[in-house]
Amino acid sequence: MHNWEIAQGNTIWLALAGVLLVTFIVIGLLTKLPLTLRRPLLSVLVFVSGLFYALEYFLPTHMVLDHGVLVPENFLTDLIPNIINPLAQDLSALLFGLGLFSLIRMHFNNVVRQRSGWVNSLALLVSTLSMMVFGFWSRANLHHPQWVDQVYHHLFDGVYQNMDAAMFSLIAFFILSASYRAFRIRSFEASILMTSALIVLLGLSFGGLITDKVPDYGLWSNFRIETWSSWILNIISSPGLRAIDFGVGLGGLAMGLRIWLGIEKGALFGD
Amino acid sequence: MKLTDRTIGIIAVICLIPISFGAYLYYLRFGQNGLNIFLGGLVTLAVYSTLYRENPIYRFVEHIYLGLAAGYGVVIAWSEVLSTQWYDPIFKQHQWLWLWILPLAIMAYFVFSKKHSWISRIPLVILSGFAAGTIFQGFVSQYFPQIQDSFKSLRPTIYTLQNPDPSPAAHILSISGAINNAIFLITLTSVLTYFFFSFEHKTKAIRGYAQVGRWLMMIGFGAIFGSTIMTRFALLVDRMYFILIEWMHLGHPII
Repeated sequence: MHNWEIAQGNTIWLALAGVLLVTFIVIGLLTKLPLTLRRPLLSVLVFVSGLFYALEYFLPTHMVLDHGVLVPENFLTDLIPNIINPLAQDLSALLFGLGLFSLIRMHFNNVVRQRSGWVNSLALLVSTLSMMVFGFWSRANLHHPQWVDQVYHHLFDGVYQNMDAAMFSLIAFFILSASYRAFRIRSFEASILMTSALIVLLGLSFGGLITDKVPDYGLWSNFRIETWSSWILNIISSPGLRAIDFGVGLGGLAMGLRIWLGIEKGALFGD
Repeated sequence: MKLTDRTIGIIAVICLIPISFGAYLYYLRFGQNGLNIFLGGLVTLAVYSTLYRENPIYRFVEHIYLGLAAGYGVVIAWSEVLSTQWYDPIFKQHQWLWLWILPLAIMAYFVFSKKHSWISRIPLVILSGFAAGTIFQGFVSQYFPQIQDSFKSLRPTIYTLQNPDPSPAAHILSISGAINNAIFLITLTSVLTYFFFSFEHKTKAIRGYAQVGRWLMMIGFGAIFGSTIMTRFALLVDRMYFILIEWMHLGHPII
Protein backbone atom coordinates (compact mmCIF):
# COMPACT_ATOMS: atom_id res chain seq x y z
CA MET A 1 0.00 0.00 0.00
CA HIS A 2 2.84 2.45 0.79
CA ASN A 3 4.13 2.34 -2.79
CA TRP A 4 0.81 3.80 -3.85
CA GLU A 5 1.36 6.95 -1.75
CA ILE A 6 3.07 9.20 -4.25
CA ALA A 7 1.10 12.34 -4.93
CA GLN A 8 0.58 15.08 -2.35
CA GLY A 9 -1.51 18.24 -2.17
CA ASN A 10 -2.50 19.74 -5.50
CA THR A 11 -0.46 17.15 -7.37
CA ILE A 12 -3.55 14.95 -7.20
CA TRP A 13 -5.37 17.21 -9.67
CA LEU A 14 -2.41 17.00 -12.04
CA ALA A 15 -2.50 13.22 -11.66
CA LEU A 16 -6.24 13.21 -12.40
CA ALA A 17 -5.70 15.32 -15.51
CA GLY A 18 -2.89 12.99 -16.59
CA VAL A 19 -5.02 9.89 -16.06
CA LEU A 20 -7.90 11.41 -18.04
CA LEU A 21 -5.51 12.40 -20.85
CA VAL A 22 -4.09 8.87 -21.02
CA THR A 23 -7.65 7.49 -20.90
CA PHE A 24 -8.69 9.54 -23.92
CA ILE A 25 -5.55 8.52 -25.83
CA VAL A 26 -6.08 4.81 -24.99
CA ILE A 27 -9.77 4.95 -25.88
CA GLY A 28 -8.88 6.80 -29.11
CA LEU A 29 -6.44 4.02 -29.98
CA LEU A 30 -8.99 1.35 -29.06
CA THR A 31 -11.55 2.86 -31.43
CA LYS A 32 -9.01 2.43 -34.25
CA LEU A 33 -8.23 -1.18 -33.31
CA PRO A 34 -8.92 -3.57 -36.23
CA LEU A 35 -11.79 -5.98 -35.82
CA THR A 36 -9.46 -9.00 -35.89
CA LEU A 37 -7.47 -7.78 -32.87
CA ARG A 38 -10.42 -7.13 -30.54
CA ARG A 39 -11.01 -10.73 -29.48
CA PRO A 40 -7.29 -11.47 -28.85
CA LEU A 41 -7.05 -8.30 -26.73
CA LEU A 42 -10.04 -9.34 -24.60
CA SER A 43 -8.63 -12.88 -24.30
CA VAL A 44 -5.26 -11.57 -23.11
CA LEU A 45 -6.90 -9.28 -20.53
CA VAL A 46 -9.10 -12.04 -19.10
CA PHE A 47 -6.14 -14.45 -19.03
CA VAL A 48 -3.85 -12.01 -17.23
CA SER A 49 -6.45 -11.09 -14.60
CA GLY A 50 -7.25 -14.76 -13.97
CA LEU A 51 -3.55 -15.70 -14.01
CA PHE A 52 -3.01 -13.65 -10.87
CA TYR A 53 -5.13 -16.02 -8.80
CA ALA A 54 -3.60 -19.08 -10.46
CA LEU A 55 -0.07 -17.84 -9.66
CA GLU A 56 -1.10 -16.94 -6.13
CA TYR A 57 -2.33 -20.51 -5.66
CA PHE A 58 0.43 -22.44 -7.42
CA LEU A 59 3.58 -20.47 -6.49
CA PRO A 60 5.52 -21.79 -3.46
CA THR A 61 4.23 -20.59 -0.11
CA HIS A 62 5.49 -20.24 3.43
CA MET A 63 3.38 -20.63 6.55
CA VAL A 64 2.35 -17.44 8.38
CA LEU A 65 0.47 -17.06 11.66
CA ASP A 66 -2.80 -15.22 10.92
CA HIS A 67 -5.15 -14.65 13.91
CA GLY A 68 -3.66 -17.70 15.64
CA VAL A 69 -3.98 -19.96 12.58
CA LEU A 70 -1.13 -21.05 10.31
CA VAL A 71 -1.98 -20.16 6.70
CA PRO A 72 0.07 -20.58 3.51
CA GLU A 73 1.17 -17.27 1.95
CA ASN A 74 3.42 -15.97 -0.81
CA PHE A 75 4.28 -12.49 -2.06
CA LEU A 76 1.00 -12.27 -4.02
CA THR A 77 -1.31 -13.20 -1.14
CA ASP A 78 -1.31 -9.73 0.45
CA LEU A 79 -2.30 -8.12 -2.84
CA ILE A 80 -5.70 -9.86 -2.85
CA PRO A 81 -7.25 -8.01 0.14
CA ASN A 82 -5.26 -4.80 -0.39
CA ILE A 83 -5.41 -4.25 -4.16
CA ILE A 84 -7.42 -6.82 -6.13
CA ASN A 85 -10.55 -7.03 -3.98
CA PRO A 86 -10.93 -3.23 -3.54
CA LEU A 87 -10.22 -2.80 -7.28
CA ALA A 88 -12.96 -5.28 -8.24
CA GLN A 89 -15.39 -3.78 -5.71
CA ASP A 90 -14.68 -0.18 -6.78
CA LEU A 91 -15.06 -1.08 -10.44
CA SER A 92 -18.32 -2.93 -9.78
CA ALA A 93 -19.63 0.05 -7.76
CA LEU A 94 -18.72 2.43 -10.58
CA LEU A 95 -20.52 0.14 -13.03
CA PHE A 96 -23.65 0.45 -10.87
CA GLY A 97 -24.15 3.79 -12.59
CA LEU A 98 -24.72 1.93 -15.89
CA GLY A 99 -27.86 0.27 -14.56
CA LEU A 100 -29.05 3.44 -12.87
CA PHE A 101 -28.51 5.47 -16.04
CA SER A 102 -30.50 2.93 -18.13
CA LEU A 103 -33.31 2.87 -15.57
CA ILE A 104 -33.57 6.66 -15.34
CA ARG A 105 -33.31 7.13 -19.11
CA MET A 106 -36.12 4.63 -19.77
CA HIS A 107 -38.51 6.05 -17.16
CA PHE A 108 -37.64 9.65 -18.01
CA ASN A 109 -38.59 8.95 -21.64
CA ASN A 110 -41.85 7.35 -20.43
CA VAL A 111 -42.73 10.50 -18.50
CA VAL A 112 -41.70 12.97 -21.22
CA ARG A 113 -43.58 11.08 -23.94
CA GLN A 114 -46.50 10.30 -21.60
CA ARG A 115 -46.43 6.60 -22.50
CA SER A 116 -48.76 4.15 -20.80
CA GLY A 117 -47.85 3.93 -17.08
CA TRP A 118 -45.99 7.27 -17.03
CA VAL A 119 -47.39 8.03 -13.55
CA ASN A 120 -45.61 4.94 -12.24
CA SER A 121 -42.42 5.99 -14.00
CA LEU A 122 -42.69 9.41 -12.38
CA ALA A 123 -43.14 7.75 -8.96
CA LEU A 124 -40.00 5.70 -9.62
CA LEU A 125 -37.95 8.75 -10.60
CA VAL A 126 -39.14 10.78 -7.60
CA SER A 127 -38.46 7.93 -5.15
CA THR A 128 -35.00 7.24 -6.63
CA LEU A 129 -34.07 10.91 -6.45
CA SER A 130 -35.47 11.38 -2.93
CA MET A 131 -33.61 8.36 -1.58
CA MET A 132 -30.36 9.51 -3.20
CA VAL A 133 -30.64 13.14 -2.05
CA PHE A 134 -31.66 12.38 1.54
CA GLY A 135 -29.39 9.34 1.76
CA PHE A 136 -26.29 11.28 0.74
CA TRP A 137 -27.25 14.32 2.75
CA SER A 138 -27.97 12.31 5.87
CA ARG A 139 -24.86 10.15 5.62
CA ALA A 140 -22.50 13.00 4.73
CA ASN A 141 -20.29 14.20 7.55
CA LEU A 142 -21.30 17.79 6.90
CA HIS A 143 -23.58 19.60 9.32
CA HIS A 144 -27.17 19.06 8.23
CA PRO A 145 -30.60 19.87 9.72
CA GLN A 146 -32.29 17.21 11.83
CA TRP A 147 -35.30 16.96 9.51
CA VAL A 148 -33.02 15.51 6.80
CA ASP A 149 -32.27 12.54 9.05
CA GLN A 150 -35.98 12.20 9.83
CA VAL A 151 -37.01 12.16 6.16
CA TYR A 152 -34.31 9.57 5.38
CA HIS A 153 -35.49 7.54 8.38
CA HIS A 154 -39.10 7.62 7.06
CA LEU A 155 -38.03 6.69 3.54
CA PHE A 156 -35.79 3.83 4.64
CA ASP A 157 -37.39 2.43 7.82
CA GLY A 158 -40.97 3.50 7.16
CA VAL A 159 -41.40 2.76 3.47
CA TYR A 160 -38.49 0.77 2.00
CA GLN A 161 -37.96 -1.81 4.74
CA ASN A 162 -41.67 -2.48 5.18
CA MET A 163 -42.15 -2.85 1.44
CA ASP A 164 -39.16 -5.18 1.31
CA ALA A 165 -40.62 -7.42 4.02
CA ALA A 166 -44.08 -7.35 2.38
CA MET A 167 -42.65 -8.24 -1.06
CA PHE A 168 -40.75 -11.23 0.32
CA SER A 169 -43.68 -12.42 2.42
CA LEU A 170 -45.82 -12.43 -0.75
CA ILE A 171 -43.81 -15.48 -1.81
CA ALA A 172 -45.55 -17.45 0.95
CA PHE A 173 -48.83 -17.18 -1.00
CA PHE A 174 -47.23 -17.98 -4.34
CA ILE A 175 -45.37 -20.97 -2.92
CA LEU A 176 -48.65 -22.35 -1.55
CA SER A 177 -50.43 -21.94 -4.86
CA ALA A 178 -47.47 -23.51 -6.71
CA SER A 179 -47.35 -26.45 -4.31
CA TYR A 180 -51.08 -27.07 -4.72
CA ARG A 181 -50.60 -27.33 -8.47
CA ALA A 182 -47.45 -29.45 -8.11
CA PHE A 183 -49.07 -31.95 -5.75
CA ARG A 184 -52.05 -32.48 -8.04
CA ILE A 185 -49.69 -34.54 -10.19
CA ARG A 186 -50.26 -38.00 -8.75
CA SER A 187 -47.03 -39.93 -9.05
CA PHE A 188 -44.83 -41.89 -6.67
CA GLU A 189 -42.18 -39.16 -6.74
CA ALA A 190 -44.69 -36.35 -6.03
CA SER A 191 -46.01 -38.40 -3.11
CA ILE A 192 -42.60 -38.87 -1.46
CA LEU A 193 -41.82 -35.21 -2.04
CA MET A 194 -45.08 -34.18 -0.35
CA THR A 195 -44.63 -36.61 2.55
CA SER A 196 -41.12 -35.40 3.21
CA ALA A 197 -42.23 -31.74 2.97
CA LEU A 198 -45.08 -32.42 5.39
CA ILE A 199 -42.80 -34.07 7.96
CA VAL A 200 -40.29 -31.21 7.79
CA LEU A 201 -43.08 -28.63 7.97
CA LEU A 202 -44.55 -30.30 11.04
CA GLY A 203 -41.14 -30.77 12.59
CA LEU A 204 -40.34 -27.08 12.21
CA SER A 205 -43.74 -25.84 13.38
CA PHE A 206 -46.39 -27.36 15.67
CA GLY A 207 -45.53 -31.02 14.93
CA GLY A 208 -43.87 -31.25 18.30
CA LEU A 209 -47.32 -30.94 19.94
CA ILE A 210 -48.56 -34.11 18.16
CA THR A 211 -45.80 -36.27 19.58
CA ASP A 212 -45.47 -34.27 22.79
CA LYS A 213 -46.24 -37.29 24.99
CA VAL A 214 -43.47 -39.40 23.47
CA PRO A 215 -40.33 -39.25 25.66
CA ASP A 216 -37.46 -37.24 24.17
CA TYR A 217 -34.77 -39.65 25.42
CA GLY A 218 -33.62 -43.16 24.51
CA LEU A 219 -35.09 -45.11 21.61
CA TRP A 220 -38.50 -43.51 22.14
CA SER A 221 -37.17 -40.18 20.87
CA ASN A 222 -37.04 -41.73 17.38
CA PHE A 223 -40.84 -41.58 17.31
CA ARG A 224 -40.99 -37.80 17.70
CA ILE A 225 -41.78 -35.75 14.60
CA GLU A 226 -38.97 -33.28 15.15
CA THR A 227 -36.50 -36.23 15.18
CA TRP A 228 -37.85 -37.41 11.81
CA SER A 229 -37.67 -33.87 10.47
CA SER A 230 -34.04 -33.35 11.48
CA TRP A 231 -33.15 -36.89 10.28
CA ILE A 232 -34.54 -36.12 6.82
CA LEU A 233 -32.74 -32.79 6.73
CA ASN A 234 -29.36 -34.16 7.91
CA ILE A 235 -29.21 -37.67 6.48
CA ILE A 236 -31.17 -37.42 3.19
CA SER A 237 -31.46 -33.76 2.18
CA SER A 238 -27.92 -32.74 3.08
CA PRO A 239 -26.04 -35.42 1.00
CA GLY A 240 -28.52 -35.04 -1.88
CA LEU A 241 -27.86 -31.32 -2.01
CA ARG A 242 -24.15 -31.91 -1.58
CA ALA A 243 -24.14 -34.20 -4.63
CA ILE A 244 -25.96 -31.54 -6.67
CA ASP A 245 -23.54 -28.94 -5.32
CA PHE A 246 -20.57 -31.03 -6.49
CA GLY A 247 -22.05 -31.01 -9.98
CA VAL A 248 -22.60 -27.25 -9.81
CA GLY A 249 -19.03 -26.77 -8.57
CA LEU A 250 -17.56 -28.85 -11.39
CA GLY A 251 -19.71 -26.96 -13.91
CA GLY A 252 -18.52 -23.66 -12.42
CA LEU A 253 -14.92 -24.82 -12.61
CA ALA A 254 -15.31 -25.80 -16.28
CA MET A 255 -17.02 -22.47 -17.00
CA GLY A 256 -14.26 -20.57 -15.16
CA LEU A 257 -11.63 -22.40 -17.19
CA ARG A 258 -13.43 -21.62 -20.44
CA ILE A 259 -13.66 -17.92 -19.53
CA TRP A 260 -10.06 -17.76 -18.35
CA LEU A 261 -8.71 -19.35 -21.53
CA GLY A 262 -10.97 -17.20 -23.71
CA ILE A 263 -12.71 -20.25 -25.22
CA GLU A 264 -16.11 -19.06 -24.07
CA LYS A 265 -18.18 -17.22 -26.66
CA GLY A 266 -21.44 -15.44 -25.77
CA ALA A 267 -21.73 -11.81 -24.72
CA LEU A 268 -18.12 -11.28 -23.64
CA PHE A 269 -16.12 -12.75 -26.49
CA GLY A 270 -18.69 -13.02 -29.28
CA ASP A 271 -18.45 -10.75 -32.32
CA MET B 1 -63.10 -0.72 -16.16
CA LYS B 2 -59.70 0.28 -17.49
CA LEU B 3 -58.26 3.31 -15.72
CA THR B 4 -56.18 5.81 -17.66
CA ASP B 5 -52.92 7.11 -16.24
CA ARG B 6 -54.42 10.55 -15.76
CA THR B 7 -57.32 9.07 -13.72
CA ILE B 8 -54.89 7.05 -11.60
CA GLY B 9 -52.86 10.21 -11.00
CA ILE B 10 -55.96 12.14 -9.92
CA ILE B 11 -57.09 9.30 -7.62
CA ALA B 12 -53.57 9.12 -6.13
CA VAL B 13 -53.59 12.88 -5.42
CA ILE B 14 -57.10 12.69 -3.87
CA CYS B 15 -56.02 9.72 -1.72
CA LEU B 16 -53.09 11.79 -0.46
CA ILE B 17 -55.50 13.96 1.58
CA PRO B 18 -56.85 11.23 3.95
CA ILE B 19 -53.41 9.57 3.97
CA SER B 20 -51.76 12.81 5.08
CA PHE B 21 -54.45 13.29 7.73
CA GLY B 22 -53.92 9.74 9.02
CA ALA B 23 -50.16 10.25 9.03
CA TYR B 24 -50.60 13.48 10.99
CA LEU B 25 -52.78 11.73 13.59
CA TYR B 26 -50.21 8.94 13.98
CA TYR B 27 -47.46 11.54 14.29
CA LEU B 28 -49.38 13.43 17.00
CA ARG B 29 -49.99 10.27 19.00
CA PHE B 30 -46.81 8.25 18.52
CA GLY B 31 -44.20 10.75 17.27
CA GLN B 32 -41.66 10.07 14.51
CA ASN B 33 -41.81 6.31 14.92
CA GLY B 34 -45.61 6.42 14.62
CA LEU B 35 -45.24 8.00 11.20
CA ASN B 36 -42.97 5.14 10.15
CA ILE B 37 -45.53 2.60 11.34
CA PHE B 38 -48.34 4.42 9.52
CA LEU B 39 -46.39 4.51 6.24
CA GLY B 40 -45.28 0.89 6.70
CA GLY B 41 -48.83 -0.36 7.20
CA LEU B 42 -50.05 1.56 4.19
CA VAL B 43 -47.42 0.21 1.81
CA THR B 44 -47.80 -3.33 3.18
CA LEU B 45 -51.53 -3.29 2.41
CA ALA B 46 -50.81 -1.80 -1.02
CA VAL B 47 -48.36 -4.62 -1.77
CA TYR B 48 -50.84 -7.26 -0.56
CA SER B 49 -53.51 -5.83 -2.83
CA THR B 50 -51.93 -7.85 -5.66
CA LEU B 51 -53.20 -11.03 -3.97
CA TYR B 52 -56.68 -10.07 -5.14
CA ARG B 53 -55.45 -9.35 -8.66
CA GLU B 54 -52.94 -7.22 -10.57
CA ASN B 55 -54.02 -3.61 -9.98
CA PRO B 56 -52.81 -0.02 -10.46
CA ILE B 57 -52.15 0.53 -6.73
CA TYR B 58 -49.75 -2.43 -6.62
CA ARG B 59 -47.99 -1.29 -9.80
CA PHE B 60 -47.61 2.19 -8.33
CA VAL B 61 -46.04 1.02 -5.06
CA GLU B 62 -43.94 -1.53 -6.95
CA HIS B 63 -42.36 1.34 -8.88
CA ILE B 64 -41.80 3.30 -5.67
CA TYR B 65 -40.12 0.21 -4.19
CA LEU B 66 -37.83 -0.18 -7.22
CA GLY B 67 -36.97 3.53 -7.14
CA LEU B 68 -36.14 3.46 -3.44
CA ALA B 69 -34.06 0.28 -3.89
CA ALA B 70 -32.11 1.83 -6.80
CA GLY B 71 -31.54 5.06 -4.85
CA TYR B 72 -30.46 3.17 -1.75
CA GLY B 73 -28.12 1.04 -3.90
CA VAL B 74 -26.37 4.19 -5.12
CA VAL B 75 -26.08 5.57 -1.58
CA ILE B 76 -24.58 2.30 -0.34
CA ALA B 77 -22.26 1.94 -3.38
CA TRP B 78 -20.83 5.34 -2.56
CA SER B 79 -20.78 5.34 1.24
CA GLU B 80 -19.73 1.72 1.83
CA VAL B 81 -17.45 1.11 -1.16
CA LEU B 82 -16.36 4.10 -3.23
CA SER B 83 -16.02 6.63 -0.44
CA THR B 84 -13.89 4.39 1.80
CA GLN B 85 -11.98 2.37 -0.81
CA TRP B 86 -11.58 4.83 -3.65
CA TYR B 87 -12.23 8.51 -2.82
CA ASP B 88 -10.53 8.56 0.59
CA PRO B 89 -7.36 6.72 -0.54
CA ILE B 90 -6.99 9.13 -3.47
CA PHE B 91 -7.93 12.48 -1.95
CA LYS B 92 -7.06 11.95 1.71
CA GLN B 93 -4.19 9.47 1.63
CA HIS B 94 -2.79 10.61 -1.73
CA GLN B 95 -2.64 7.12 -3.22
CA TRP B 96 -3.23 8.42 -6.74
CA LEU B 97 -2.70 5.09 -8.46
CA TRP B 98 -6.31 4.26 -7.53
CA LEU B 99 -7.23 6.81 -10.21
CA TRP B 100 -6.50 4.12 -12.80
CA ILE B 101 -9.85 2.53 -12.02
CA LEU B 102 -11.50 5.56 -13.63
CA PRO B 103 -10.43 4.75 -17.24
CA LEU B 104 -11.84 1.23 -16.86
CA ALA B 105 -15.14 2.61 -15.56
CA ILE B 106 -15.29 5.13 -18.42
CA MET B 107 -14.78 2.28 -20.91
CA ALA B 108 -17.81 0.48 -19.48
CA TYR B 109 -20.03 3.43 -20.39
CA PHE B 110 -19.21 2.88 -24.07
CA VAL B 111 -22.01 0.30 -23.99
CA PHE B 112 -24.29 3.16 -25.05
CA SER B 113 -22.23 3.77 -28.21
CA LYS B 114 -23.49 1.81 -31.20
CA LYS B 115 -20.14 1.88 -33.00
CA HIS B 116 -17.69 1.27 -30.15
CA SER B 117 -19.77 -0.73 -27.69
CA TRP B 118 -17.14 -3.51 -27.69
CA ILE B 119 -14.88 -1.26 -25.57
CA SER B 120 -17.34 -1.71 -22.69
CA ARG B 121 -16.33 -5.39 -22.55
CA ILE B 122 -12.80 -4.52 -21.36
CA PRO B 123 -13.70 -3.85 -17.68
CA LEU B 124 -16.14 -6.76 -17.81
CA VAL B 125 -13.50 -9.25 -19.01
CA ILE B 126 -11.13 -8.05 -16.28
CA LEU B 127 -13.81 -8.66 -13.65
CA SER B 128 -14.62 -12.02 -15.31
CA GLY B 129 -10.93 -12.96 -15.17
CA PHE B 130 -10.85 -12.23 -11.44
CA ALA B 131 -14.08 -14.21 -10.99
CA ALA B 132 -12.66 -17.16 -12.99
CA GLY B 133 -9.50 -17.05 -10.83
CA THR B 134 -11.49 -17.08 -7.61
CA ILE B 135 -13.50 -20.08 -8.85
CA PHE B 136 -10.33 -22.25 -8.81
CA GLN B 137 -9.42 -21.19 -5.30
CA GLY B 138 -13.04 -21.39 -4.17
CA PHE B 139 -13.40 -24.91 -5.55
CA VAL B 140 -10.40 -26.13 -3.59
CA SER B 141 -11.36 -24.41 -0.34
CA GLN B 142 -15.08 -25.20 -0.55
CA TYR B 143 -15.37 -28.67 -2.10
CA PHE B 144 -12.24 -30.52 -0.97
CA PRO B 145 -13.22 -30.41 2.74
CA GLN B 146 -16.75 -31.48 1.76
CA ILE B 147 -15.45 -34.45 -0.23
CA GLN B 148 -13.23 -35.44 2.70
CA ASP B 149 -16.15 -35.08 5.13
CA SER B 150 -18.40 -37.26 2.93
CA PHE B 151 -16.35 -40.40 3.52
CA LYS B 152 -17.87 -41.31 6.85
CA SER B 153 -17.03 -44.38 8.86
CA LEU B 154 -19.39 -47.35 8.41
CA ARG B 155 -17.99 -49.47 11.25
CA PRO B 156 -19.61 -48.97 14.66
CA THR B 157 -17.25 -48.64 17.63
CA ILE B 158 -19.91 -49.39 20.23
CA TYR B 159 -22.51 -52.08 19.66
CA THR B 160 -25.56 -50.21 20.98
CA LEU B 161 -28.51 -48.97 18.96
CA GLN B 162 -28.13 -45.41 20.16
CA ASN B 163 -25.27 -43.10 21.04
CA PRO B 164 -24.84 -42.78 24.82
CA ASP B 165 -26.18 -39.58 26.44
CA PRO B 166 -24.80 -36.94 26.57
CA SER B 167 -23.35 -36.66 23.04
CA PRO B 168 -20.26 -38.85 22.73
CA ALA B 169 -16.83 -37.97 21.44
CA ALA B 170 -16.43 -37.77 17.66
CA HIS B 171 -14.77 -41.19 17.30
CA ILE B 172 -17.58 -43.09 19.07
CA LEU B 173 -20.07 -44.49 16.58
CA SER B 174 -23.15 -46.53 17.47
CA ILE B 175 -24.95 -48.99 15.17
CA SER B 176 -27.63 -46.42 14.32
CA GLY B 177 -24.91 -43.85 13.61
CA ALA B 178 -23.24 -46.31 11.21
CA ILE B 179 -26.58 -46.97 9.47
CA ASN B 180 -27.13 -43.22 9.13
CA ASN B 181 -23.65 -42.85 7.65
CA ALA B 182 -24.42 -45.64 5.17
CA ILE B 183 -27.67 -43.92 4.13
CA PHE B 184 -25.74 -40.65 3.79
CA LEU B 185 -23.20 -42.32 1.48
CA ILE B 186 -25.89 -44.13 -0.55
CA THR B 187 -27.78 -40.85 -1.04
CA LEU B 188 -24.64 -38.99 -2.07
CA THR B 189 -23.37 -41.61 -4.51
CA SER B 190 -26.79 -42.47 -5.99
CA VAL B 191 -27.59 -38.79 -6.66
CA LEU B 192 -24.13 -38.38 -8.20
CA THR B 193 -24.83 -41.47 -10.35
CA TYR B 194 -28.15 -39.97 -11.46
CA PHE B 195 -26.36 -36.83 -12.66
CA PHE B 196 -23.44 -38.70 -14.23
CA PHE B 197 -23.95 -38.28 -17.96
CA SER B 198 -20.43 -39.12 -19.18
CA PHE B 199 -21.58 -42.63 -20.07
CA GLU B 200 -24.95 -44.12 -20.84
CA HIS B 201 -26.78 -45.82 -17.95
CA LYS B 202 -26.92 -49.17 -19.74
CA THR B 203 -26.83 -51.82 -17.05
CA LYS B 204 -29.85 -52.54 -14.91
CA ALA B 205 -27.84 -52.03 -11.70
CA ILE B 206 -26.75 -48.51 -12.61
CA ARG B 207 -30.20 -47.58 -13.87
CA GLY B 208 -31.72 -48.87 -10.63
CA TYR B 209 -29.14 -47.08 -8.47
CA ALA B 210 -29.77 -43.82 -10.37
CA GLN B 211 -33.51 -44.33 -9.82
CA VAL B 212 -32.91 -44.69 -6.07
CA GLY B 213 -30.92 -41.46 -6.29
CA ARG B 214 -33.90 -39.78 -7.95
CA TRP B 215 -36.25 -40.91 -5.16
CA LEU B 216 -33.85 -39.82 -2.43
CA MET B 217 -33.46 -36.49 -4.19
CA MET B 218 -37.23 -36.07 -4.12
CA ILE B 219 -37.18 -36.57 -0.33
CA GLY B 220 -34.42 -33.95 -0.16
CA PHE B 221 -36.38 -31.53 -2.34
CA GLY B 222 -39.44 -32.07 -0.17
CA ALA B 223 -37.39 -31.20 2.90
CA ILE B 224 -36.06 -28.04 1.26
CA PHE B 225 -39.56 -27.17 0.16
CA GLY B 226 -40.88 -27.62 3.69
CA SER B 227 -38.19 -25.44 5.25
CA THR B 228 -38.64 -22.78 2.54
CA ILE B 229 -42.37 -22.63 3.28
CA MET B 230 -41.58 -22.19 6.96
CA THR B 231 -39.12 -19.34 6.23
CA ARG B 232 -41.63 -17.52 4.04
CA PHE B 233 -44.40 -18.02 6.55
CA ALA B 234 -42.19 -16.58 9.27
CA LEU B 235 -41.99 -13.42 7.13
CA LEU B 236 -45.76 -13.47 6.64
CA VAL B 237 -46.39 -13.87 10.36
CA ASP B 238 -44.06 -10.92 10.99
CA ARG B 239 -46.08 -8.79 8.54
CA MET B 240 -49.38 -9.88 10.07
CA TYR B 241 -48.04 -8.99 13.53
CA PHE B 242 -47.00 -5.60 12.19
CA ILE B 243 -50.39 -4.90 10.61
CA LEU B 244 -52.59 -6.21 13.42
CA ILE B 245 -50.59 -5.27 16.51
CA GLU B 246 -48.34 -2.35 15.60
CA TRP B 247 -50.45 -0.65 12.94
CA MET B 248 -54.02 -1.38 14.00
CA HIS B 249 -53.27 -1.80 17.74
CA LEU B 250 -55.57 -4.83 17.98
CA GLY B 251 -53.60 -6.48 20.75
CA HIS B 252 -50.71 -6.11 23.15
CA PRO B 253 -47.24 -6.23 21.64
CA ILE B 254 -45.13 -9.27 22.53
CA ILE B 255 -42.04 -8.02 24.34
